[in-house]
Amino acid sequence: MTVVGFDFGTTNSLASVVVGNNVITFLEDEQPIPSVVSFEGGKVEVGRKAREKLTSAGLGVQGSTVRSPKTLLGREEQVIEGVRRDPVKMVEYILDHVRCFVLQTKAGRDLTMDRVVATIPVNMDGSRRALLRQAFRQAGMSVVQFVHEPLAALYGFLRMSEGTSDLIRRYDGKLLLVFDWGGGTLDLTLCRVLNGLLVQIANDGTEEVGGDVFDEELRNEVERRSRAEQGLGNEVEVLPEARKRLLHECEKAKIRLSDRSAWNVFVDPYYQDDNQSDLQINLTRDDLQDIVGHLVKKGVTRIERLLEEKGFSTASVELCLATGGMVNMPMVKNRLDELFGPGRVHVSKRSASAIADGAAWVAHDQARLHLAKNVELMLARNSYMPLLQAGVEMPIERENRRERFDLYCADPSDGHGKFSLVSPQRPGPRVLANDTRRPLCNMLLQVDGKARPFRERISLEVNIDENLVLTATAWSLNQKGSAVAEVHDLEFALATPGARNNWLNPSLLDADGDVSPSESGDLSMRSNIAASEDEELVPGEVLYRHNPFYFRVENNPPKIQVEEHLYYQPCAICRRASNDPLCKCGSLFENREQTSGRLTI
Amino acid sequence: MTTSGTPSNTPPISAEALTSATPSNEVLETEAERVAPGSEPIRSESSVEGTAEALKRDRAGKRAKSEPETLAQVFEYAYRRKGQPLTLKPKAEKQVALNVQLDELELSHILQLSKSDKLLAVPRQILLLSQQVRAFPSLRAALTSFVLNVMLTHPVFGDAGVQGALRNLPEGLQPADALARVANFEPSPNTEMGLMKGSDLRDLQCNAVNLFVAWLAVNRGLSSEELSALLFQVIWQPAVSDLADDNLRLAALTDLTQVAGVGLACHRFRQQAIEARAQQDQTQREATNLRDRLAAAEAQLSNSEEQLAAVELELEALQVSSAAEVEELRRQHAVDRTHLQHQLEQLRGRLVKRLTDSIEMLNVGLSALCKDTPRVPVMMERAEHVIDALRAEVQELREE
Repeated sequence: MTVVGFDFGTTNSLASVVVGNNVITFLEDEQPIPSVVSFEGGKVEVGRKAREKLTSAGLGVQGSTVRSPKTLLGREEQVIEGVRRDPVKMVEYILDHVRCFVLQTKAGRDLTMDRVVATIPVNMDGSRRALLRQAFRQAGMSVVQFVHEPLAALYGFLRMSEGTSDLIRRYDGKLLLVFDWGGGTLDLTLCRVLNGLLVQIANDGTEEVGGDVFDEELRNEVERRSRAEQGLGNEVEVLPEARKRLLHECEKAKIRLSDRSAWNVFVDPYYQDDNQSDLQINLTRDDLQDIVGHLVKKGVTRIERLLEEKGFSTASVELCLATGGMVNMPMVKNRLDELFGPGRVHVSKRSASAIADGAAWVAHDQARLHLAKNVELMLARNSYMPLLQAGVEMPIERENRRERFDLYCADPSDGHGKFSLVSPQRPGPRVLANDTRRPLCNMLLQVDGKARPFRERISLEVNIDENLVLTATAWSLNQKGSAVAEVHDLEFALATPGARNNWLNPSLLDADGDVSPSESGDLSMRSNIAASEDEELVPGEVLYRHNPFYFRVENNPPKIQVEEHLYYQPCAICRRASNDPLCKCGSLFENREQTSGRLTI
Repeated sequence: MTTSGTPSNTPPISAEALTSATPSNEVLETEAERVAPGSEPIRSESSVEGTAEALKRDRAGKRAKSEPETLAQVFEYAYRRKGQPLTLKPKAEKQVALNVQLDELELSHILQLSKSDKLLAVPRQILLLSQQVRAFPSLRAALTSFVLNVMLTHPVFGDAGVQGALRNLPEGLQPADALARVANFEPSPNTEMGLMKGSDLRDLQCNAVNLFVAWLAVNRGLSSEELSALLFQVIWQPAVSDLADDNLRLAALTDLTQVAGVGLACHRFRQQAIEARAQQDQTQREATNLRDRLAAAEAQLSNSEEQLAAVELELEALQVSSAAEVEELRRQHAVDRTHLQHQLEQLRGRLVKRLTDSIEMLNVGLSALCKDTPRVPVMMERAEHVIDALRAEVQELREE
């Protein structure tokens, strides 16, 4: 059964499928299908017809029209023309429209179109992924696997290039930037090829510089210039629908100026004056640069900032894969060439379908997502226990990956077990103890506060479902407490064809960015969870209450535990609190500190 | 191992030789009497009494020195010999053949003589004599007819099945059965014959069997092998069962006097054994040959089956590979078809888009021209754009 690649994009949607060894992209008159749905007059219209009703840039609800309902997933029902509309249903309309379009083509009529690999934005969290899966299901398609859009584009580029395996070897360990500048959003993803796996390093995205914003800026400037030329004040109204036509003319002008030096924007009639005057403005490429140059600069700045944040220079990027309609603008292409050098910028010829094509190749190759970085549990005294190792395959449709652990609470005195799930910044299963960890989630579990340390058994289960959401559940077996937390932003790697996929015994992979253990201002939770019964993990003051003999000199207790114990004891001489600056008695002991680092009391 | 000739090559054996080769002691005793001519036979008939008997003795004594001249004299001579072999000189044969009729007195006398031969020792000799008479069929027929009459009237042959066998009637018993019945003859207890001594009865049975065998040899043309087989089956083999120990067997083997018959029978059996052995050897050779051929055929069959299996496997593999090739070709065809259809649709979509754009451009340009103040540049650049686009399209179509 053929699995189709489905790019449900912010601006446009389309499907692709690999037949034989070539990809077929289902374009409608050489264009993708706009991700727009309209509910005008109670009539549901999808795609190009709905898009023609748009009057301004921006995503979401515009009157009776919804642009990119994907962005509404996870929100409450929207009231459109007095009718409450479920975002999932809106998404379903578009998905179903694309599906029907594919099935009515001659090349697609033999497809069942009931299983897809769906692309998602990098920042789409787990709950929205679940809703998107539901929408696909309602439209008669089951999602075999989600794959992030930039990863899909990169995979498709590698797969469709000549000498794929050589190319992958060439890029091994190198940084690759996927640059998707479409009508609605600019998405940036920094990836690295590690042992044949495409690993995401960093992501960024904005809706502020989408192509539609360009069109809108252009339209406003054109109208301003027209009014100035014709001496019309702002009081002169514009005919109904004229502004919408001007917007489309501006979009065309933007495109025309890619291969022409000048273009006349002409809308007739435009103004609602006595003569019903038309609008005609001659735009040059320089004009366009003046009008939207700041937007291009803004977009390119995002690239520079992303690289800077991660400590990379533009020179360290081996390939900049540019997709999306906006990269065809000469000024964008020129700017990218300036940044990375012409040899390292690759503008996809099939920029509109690069993501869908990549998803189709992922589906064809049955390429699986892998966990890019370990998922660890922080233990008492700041050690880390791996819960899920980097490299493990992520579940696909109807699969779950579940692990269960038996743990102890080293300090139950406050009645809470404190769980902190973290992920190291360094990809791969081998990490250093002092690598920076990113907190994934924290949980507080009720435990028996009267119990001795390590007495009550607690369990932790981590489960990753088909929507790539990690759910951590902890139980205290005696106190009957439970705590649940979800992690929606796990980081994944995509296996390329022929990938060795052997992260089981890898060398230490390069870390990306800063590897300092923590940053200034970080607030971290002190975990009191232990994987084994070790009294050295118990805070000194707690252990003293349960086992004072532990601190006898002949037992040679660790210094840290002795200090912890003493910190909460009043000074034996002056009876002041241990942190009282007026207490100088501690200096008496300094001379008695032994070279072994242990204190003798 | 030597092989003898086929049975057809065996020399002819007289019925006398076989029927006199009785292995039993009683028969041997009789033969002992026979080889002592002139002595009183132990098993001869002793029931002839009175003057008639004396007269006969006189006659017999008188005629014993002269050759018989009539048939009655021949019979007298025969019965006087009491079962010993008979011979007739050719002159006597000729003389007797001139008068083969018996008058009443002679007939009565002969019948009386025949009845006196209770052990049936004489008729066989008469029958054998008849076979010596070759030049006078009438004499021969008279002798044979007499023997038949004697047999038919004797109680030993009184059984209907036996009589049928004698006369070669369809309802008669098979020779072996008839012989067995004769050999196992038991007289009625109340009759004169029933009072016979056991040895006499055995003699009678033996003589009757010999007579019957001789009769069958003469009238049915049984071969010597068949006669030997019949005798072995009916007389000789049952007699062996009486030899309970080695001593008796030694006595039986060393008491043989009429060795010619034994030798003949043994010669026949040996001949048969040799022939059977030869036949067996031949059969074994044929069997070995057939087994070899069978083994060769089986090997060939096995080889053929292996070849067949190999060919079938090859065929199957070919079928699988050809099916896979066909499937692959079909799949490739479907893929090509799909791609061609897609390319066609793409081409159509591209043309539609380009033409639609062009129409829209020209439409806008035309409306610009139609203004009170014609916007010529608008029309011109749109016309240029349309021309460029169409040229590009034409170029692209040519390249495709």
